[in-house]
Amino acid sequence: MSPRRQKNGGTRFPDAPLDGPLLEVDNVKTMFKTPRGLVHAVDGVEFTLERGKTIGIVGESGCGKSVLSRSIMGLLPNNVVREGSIRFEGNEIGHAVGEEMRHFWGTQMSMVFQDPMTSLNPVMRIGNQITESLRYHLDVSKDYANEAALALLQSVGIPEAKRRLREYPHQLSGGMRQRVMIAIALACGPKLLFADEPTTALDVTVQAQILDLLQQQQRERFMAMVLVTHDLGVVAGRTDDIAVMYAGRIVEKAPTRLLFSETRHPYTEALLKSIPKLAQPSHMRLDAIAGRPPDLVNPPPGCKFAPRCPYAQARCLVEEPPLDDSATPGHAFRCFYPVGSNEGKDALARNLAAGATASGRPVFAEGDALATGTVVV
Amino acid sequence: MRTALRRVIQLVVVLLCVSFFSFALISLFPGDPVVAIVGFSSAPQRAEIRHELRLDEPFIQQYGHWLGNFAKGNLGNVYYGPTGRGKVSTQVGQSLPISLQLMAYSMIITLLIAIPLGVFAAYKAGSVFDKLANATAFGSIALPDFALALILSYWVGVKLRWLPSSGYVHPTANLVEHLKSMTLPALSLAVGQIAGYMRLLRSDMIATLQEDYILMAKSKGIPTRRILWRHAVRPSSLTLLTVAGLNVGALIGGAIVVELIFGIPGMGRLLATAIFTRQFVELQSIVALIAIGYVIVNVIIDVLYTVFDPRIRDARAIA
Repeated sequence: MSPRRQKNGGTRFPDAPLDGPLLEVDNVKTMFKTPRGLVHAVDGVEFTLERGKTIGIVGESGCGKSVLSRSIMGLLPNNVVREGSIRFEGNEIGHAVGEEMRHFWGTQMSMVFQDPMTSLNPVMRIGNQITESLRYHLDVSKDYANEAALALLQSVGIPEAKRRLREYPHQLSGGMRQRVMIAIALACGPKLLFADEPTTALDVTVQAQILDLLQQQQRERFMAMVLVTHDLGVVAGRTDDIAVMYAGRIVEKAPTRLLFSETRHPYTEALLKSIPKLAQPSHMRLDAIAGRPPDLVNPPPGCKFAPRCPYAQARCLVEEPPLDDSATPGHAFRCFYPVGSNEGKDALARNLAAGATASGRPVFAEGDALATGTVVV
Repeated sequence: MRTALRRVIQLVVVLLCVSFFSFALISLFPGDPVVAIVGFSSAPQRAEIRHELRLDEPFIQQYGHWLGNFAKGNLGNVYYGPTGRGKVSTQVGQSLPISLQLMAYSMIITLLIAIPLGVFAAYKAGSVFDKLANATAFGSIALPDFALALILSYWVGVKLRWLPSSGYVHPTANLVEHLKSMTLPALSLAVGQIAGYMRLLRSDMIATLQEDYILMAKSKGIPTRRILWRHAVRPSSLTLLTVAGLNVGALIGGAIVVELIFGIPGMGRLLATAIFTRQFVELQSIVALIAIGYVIVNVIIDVLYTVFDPRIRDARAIA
């Protein structure tokens, strides 16, 4: 059925340069074939990730952030069209399929999935699920693999690791299962780790622990990490860069601190406003972003956020802004009337005076600007 | 330990019910059973047999007596005319192993073919292979086993002379000939089941392949073959296991038509003969044995569930 295994995927590209970025993503598009037509889940994404660095990919549900990470890894179902260039250590893998990608999985890049309750095989012992990839990729003895699995479980902070190796996933709590998932993903020492909403399914109290663990492992192993989340709070102190996605595109990309201090895109601003703050009085209405993301089968022309944007002008509805670099290095955004700029201030003032944006959405004075109409969370 | 004890008690209760009904079923037949067993006989001979069978006692006492004997392994007698007697236990002792062999062989053939086909059809769901396998499956389900048995017996046995068309050879007498004699009957029984098993496994497997843990296994970079066999088959096989258990239960009673066609002296043929010659004592015992077989097989299947899925094991331990 499949060709004989190739030992040690790491030597597949012995001439891989050690300098240069680890991952370069350029104009990647991912489309799902559905009865309604092509769904443009990822639509022209580009970013670069250096070795040992972390990038956070943020956006609301359905913005394409999970599909993007799966597109880069090549872990997509069959009804998908993938375009664009993905270079890993300088090697083009954008068109690699199935068998070719398999040698990257586990050893070069791996993934921590969202829901640890359903992502571990319920009928396999935890030990076997960890040793499996070790035995296959690194071709080590059973004893060695067991030792390694034990060390891995200990390093991800699982108490009584020896006993846990013999247990099944259902015997562990959600947080413990996510630690096991991380151990599995780390088993073969990948250079790149995708964490796809790693804490979304977990209890709030363990979320921080899991994020700390990921960060600690990422630093210790000098591993690059793509942290996908819908929660800006999760990536705030933990990533080098952040890319904010909307409707399959990156709308703003910046070094983490800059994104918070010099927010340029209205969508980023709206996301930031929707985070509850401790300083706010209790029982205050949260700033939700009104409306819903656009239909990805027939996306509107112009800026995809325009229909929900308080800054939207007539131009935004017909012309799509390009992802341009700002004056600050490393900061890029897609907006004609960026937040904090004179154009942005004027645009908002015009809309407030008119009582509505160019798309016809009513706007009100500061504070309520985004929370108008029906609140769709 | 307590669960095990409870299981045993359950088992005993079920077996009591089953034996009672199989006893009652035949005792409630209209007409004089003694006349049915021994047609030509004198009045004193009939009275003797009636007393021997305790037909002159109340029903409950009859059952109690029969059950006591049954538990001790005394399955009653076969009557050859008014004076001739044979032991049912001897006949069952000869026939049951043969039926069990036939059952085991057909099961092996079925699973060896159905499982790989089902796994592959699920993996390639919607492909030409899948469609072809499904179409063939429908065809073979529609073909009754006795029709296939006749075709095989005639073509392979009589025309081509590759395998014996009928008869049974004991494995200790000649193992090769034994296997040859069992091939066609086992195959006749297997073909109809292969299709059912394949389709069961296929549909469960398609559902399993959508699970997150399969994507997770894929992301580890292990080969597809290993994902299918190590990660997906076991969680997909519980329905298959259930149906296989029921089929095995059914085959303990032998495959009546197939055994008759191929001249296999198994339980099916014994049962058929008992019916034709109205040996109701023998019938009672055989029906009870088949029912007990069913119950025991399903207890074994219950245990196998816990082997296949550790979650069931723990859920039961807690309950």
